[in-house]
Amino acid sequence: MIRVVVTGVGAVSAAGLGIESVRTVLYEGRTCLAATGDVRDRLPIPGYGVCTVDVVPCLRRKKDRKLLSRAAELAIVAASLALGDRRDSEMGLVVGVGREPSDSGEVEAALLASERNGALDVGLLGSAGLALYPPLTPLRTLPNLVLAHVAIQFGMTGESGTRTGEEAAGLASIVEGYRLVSEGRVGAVLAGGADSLVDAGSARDGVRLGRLGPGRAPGEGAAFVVLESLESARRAGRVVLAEIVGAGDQATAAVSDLTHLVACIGSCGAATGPLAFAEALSRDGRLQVAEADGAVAWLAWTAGEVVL
Amino acid sequence: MSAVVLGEAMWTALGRTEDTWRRLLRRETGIRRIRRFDASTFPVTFGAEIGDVGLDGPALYYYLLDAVCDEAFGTLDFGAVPAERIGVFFGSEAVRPDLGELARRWQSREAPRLEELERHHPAGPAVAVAKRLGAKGPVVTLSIACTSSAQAVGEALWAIRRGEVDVAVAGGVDVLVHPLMVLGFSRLGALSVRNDEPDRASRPFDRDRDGFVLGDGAGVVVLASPKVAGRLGRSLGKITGYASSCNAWRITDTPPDGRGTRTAMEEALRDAGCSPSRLAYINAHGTSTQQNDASEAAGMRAALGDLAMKVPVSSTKSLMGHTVAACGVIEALLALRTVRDGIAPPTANLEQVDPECALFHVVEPLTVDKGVALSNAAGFGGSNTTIVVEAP
Repeated sequence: MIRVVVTGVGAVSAAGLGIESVRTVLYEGRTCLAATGDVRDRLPIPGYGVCTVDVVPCLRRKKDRKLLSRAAELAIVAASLALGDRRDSEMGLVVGVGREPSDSGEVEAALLASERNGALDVGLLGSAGLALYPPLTPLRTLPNLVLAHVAIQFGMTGESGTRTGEEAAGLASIVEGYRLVSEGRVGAVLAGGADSLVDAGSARDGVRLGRLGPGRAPGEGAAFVVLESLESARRAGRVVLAEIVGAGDQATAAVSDLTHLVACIGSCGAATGPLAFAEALSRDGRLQVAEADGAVAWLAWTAGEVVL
Repeated sequence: MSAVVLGEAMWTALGRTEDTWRRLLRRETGIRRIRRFDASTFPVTFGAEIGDVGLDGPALYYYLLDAVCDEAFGTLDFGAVPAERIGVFFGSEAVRPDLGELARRWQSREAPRLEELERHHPAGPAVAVAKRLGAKGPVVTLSIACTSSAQAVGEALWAIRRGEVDVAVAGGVDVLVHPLMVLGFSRLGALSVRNDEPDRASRPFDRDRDGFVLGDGAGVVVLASPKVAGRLGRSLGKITGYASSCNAWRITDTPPDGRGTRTAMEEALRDAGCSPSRLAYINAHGTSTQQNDASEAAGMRAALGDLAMKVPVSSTKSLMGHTVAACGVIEALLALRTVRDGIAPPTANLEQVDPECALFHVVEPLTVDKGVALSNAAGFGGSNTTIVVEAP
């Protein structure tokens, strides 16, 4: 089995850019949640953990921005921080993403134009609704397009995959990235998650699902780690942040307590696990994160310089 | 190490597993005018729908899932395997909503019900199958557009290889003949608009192809480690190799040289420890869009070299449409059936091969060796996946 180490980390959250910003607000016990001017359906939540980022400097072409979902924007910024100047066309990529809100508002105009006598008229949808259906909607909402945009921006053509599954998806992606390297399927991989729950539809769905509410605000963020073999990291003279010594996912396991993180930056859906993992990398430890239906991803690691 | 196929099932516009296979070999099409809803005002009025079920929306989605699980699981004794050693791997996009319900909520401003939110989630199928089996191993949902269920099969193979599970259920389900899907893909210009001749609309690799045809489908395969397989049932074949790649090119376009297809095919063959000279058949992704087919053919020629004009290739989408999240597993099973029975289904409507798509195309049912086959899948966003299968 190939030994796998972490040689890069990048994160963006309501705390700011980089994982140090998360650590700072955590240790200072400071919240980054803010009420917005919009009452957002008067949901029973304490505020929103909104990121302030500019994705344009990270893009190959400025016009690419119009194709990006919010999660894709956050993912590209976090990936840029994790990769730095590194470009490796054979690098693998695994991304955990959350759910698309049950109504993002993109098709609302088309549906409303298709109303007749208080009910939906499918015939009208095909005629009047067609022009009102935004052509870019499918390109912003397919789950794998966060991955696709990151791959395109950074030229990554190796093995790739998208995991969906709420809070566990991001960490499950790092688990999958660990396997890709440890099994020799790729030399290096960028793995993590990105999600945004700060739109009205996601916030309302999250409350309905019991994932958001008092003490658990909607947030957004992204975090990625670069994983590679210990041998390649040493050969390239890279700084080793930690060695992954175990990983897995299963249907039942204990739920870790991420309350401290969520209280500061909000619940970031599929990005929560990677953010917590990235923040904790400098300490030896073990992290478990559960998703709603009990699927769990876990990682164990040893921090710092690797002892051979 | 390979994984042994113990159970398999599919449901397409051509019917259940045996009907799909029989009708493919007869070149009967499942593509027709849409009956599920009044599509007369839509830019595209036909599709490959699973009709006569009397259901729509999520209810149809889960009905198909249950049906293919019933058939694939058959008499397999899952109770003989510890729950922790059973994993579930499903390819899934979001479950398509019930449109009437969606519209009603827009008007009333009513929030979706909890059950609705849970059933619509991409992870819904994997969770449902895990609950049905009482599986406590990994429950994994992969959402990579049209490669979703192919990757699910591949990740199930790897879970068995690494000894994480003894039995893995992999599959995919999708219902594409849906008003919002027709609207969305029409706006992207991805669909064939041959409204006057639906049965001739899906024509992969043909010079006059003009887009793909949306289809409904579900497929599931039960895999087991060689050690455990012998105790559970009869081998229907093996999954021996898997690889994926990313084009990193453009969101909807594919690179003309087919580099992503080439990488996935070469790596999958390497993973299987299989020489291209052993290939008896390839089930192509073959969507019938201008770009996909030319790019995929270029990638296949690059991967196979001199063998490119000798290995039989067909696209079964020509008769059963494009089932997106379900096509990977369905077509991998069709590839396996091909080399198990020694007969390859044809690509329908391939009347004049586009010179850019030159390959050894199967246009009539063709006798092939009982051996090894590939199944390709590719998706929006640039993902490519290849599965290697082998007859028992």
